[in-house]
Amino acid sequence: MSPRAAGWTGMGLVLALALSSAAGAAGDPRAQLDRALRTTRDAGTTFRQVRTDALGTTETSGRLEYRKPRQVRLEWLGVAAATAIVRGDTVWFYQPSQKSILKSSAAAGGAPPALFLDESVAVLERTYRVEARGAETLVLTPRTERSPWSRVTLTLDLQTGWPRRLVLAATDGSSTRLDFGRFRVNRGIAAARFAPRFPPGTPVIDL
Amino acid sequence: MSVSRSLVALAAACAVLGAVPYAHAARLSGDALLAAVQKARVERRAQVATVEADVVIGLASKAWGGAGTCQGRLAAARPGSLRLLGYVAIATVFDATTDGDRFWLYLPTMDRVITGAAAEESLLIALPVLPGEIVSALFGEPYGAPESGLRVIEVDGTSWVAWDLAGGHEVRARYGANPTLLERAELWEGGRRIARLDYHDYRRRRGVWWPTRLDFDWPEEEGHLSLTFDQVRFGGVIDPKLFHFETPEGVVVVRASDPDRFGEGAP
Repeated sequence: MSPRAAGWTGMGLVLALALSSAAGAAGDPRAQLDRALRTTRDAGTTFRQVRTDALGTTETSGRLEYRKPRQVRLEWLGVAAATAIVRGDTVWFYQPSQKSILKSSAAAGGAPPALFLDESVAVLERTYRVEARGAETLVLTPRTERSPWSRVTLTLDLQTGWPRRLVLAATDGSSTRLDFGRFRVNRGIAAARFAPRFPPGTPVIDL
Repeated sequence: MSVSRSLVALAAACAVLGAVPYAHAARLSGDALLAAVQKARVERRAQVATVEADVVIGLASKAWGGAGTCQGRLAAARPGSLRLLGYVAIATVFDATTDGDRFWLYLPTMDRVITGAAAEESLLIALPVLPGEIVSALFGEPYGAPESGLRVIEVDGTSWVAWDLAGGHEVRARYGANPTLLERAELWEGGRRIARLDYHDYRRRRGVWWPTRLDFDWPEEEGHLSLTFDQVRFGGVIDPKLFHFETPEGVVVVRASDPDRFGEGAP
């Protein structure tokens, strides 16, 4: 084979491998999410939250920011504004009206710490059983019975691997759906966004 | 902006919001006050058989060691049924239910339901979510309907209406006039005021005068609950099943009379 033919053949192989990999990922939501998580340093988006319980549905909105490894900032806007910061296994929860900060260990409370935001699906599988349902849905079932939710369902954006929608089924019978905007990935989010800094003098209550 | 233009703007804003503010009139006294209160109660019973609302809930409790705000939804039906759910972020904080005979207070973070007969509700004052007290307040009969006739008493130069409840408690209520609307109610036991309830900023919503906020206080326990109303609806059909709580699987059920009802170290 001439060097030129070998070059074309090599390029063809690379292309074929890339295409087959993409085709495999397109039909495999686990692989899609895994790729999104592995290739992400940071990500941010907005969300619309719809809660459904015995008395109907209510809507709020908020923002989500993520930075590897396992740093998450969730902000809920509106009448009962709140901020949750996750760093590793520790969760800080603050409400301006509350005049105190609740600090807890997610593991001790039975909850997987950062919903679905971890370094890879393999890391997620330490706290969840991860099951694919169809081409774009993953169902995450917490391994511990102490978790406040019984199931997390992710509907993925087939182009990016990031969720378009997350539905939390709580053990109390309520469900919470987060409809995400487009994730802005690897644009750089300052580490300070994930520092548990709150108004000076606000007491921290260790749960 | 001129005064007249300001008034037009206010009227337009009220029309958009569907709410008309309540203007105070001179207070009534004596038999005129009693007659007005009786009439207002009869009208209220006919006008508001059910209510559903989105609310912002403020909670403070000495036993809880802090204060918090959560969003919530409520549904209530006469004579004494209520469901009130409080949640924050992605978590349910509490789910309080009563059908008038029994109550259930579900605390998901503690994995427990505290339940008992309506008469045992006061055992929960340390955690100020009292479904029976809330529903009677919503329907304008604070702390329960009178066991005996109404009477007028004078408090610091203002005429209040008082009535007695079973168990020796007295309710004292102050009303605004024209229309006759509750402003404050107090629950007295002997010479002690053990609870207070304030109705704030009435607005006319869908033909019904309704407070923008209710504040419940239990001074001795330093307990406080506030309900700030949004999206109030009247007269809807509510499934009675909503007022009977079904305990989720795996949740501990404790009696209100159990001394350890709040569990170790919790509120």
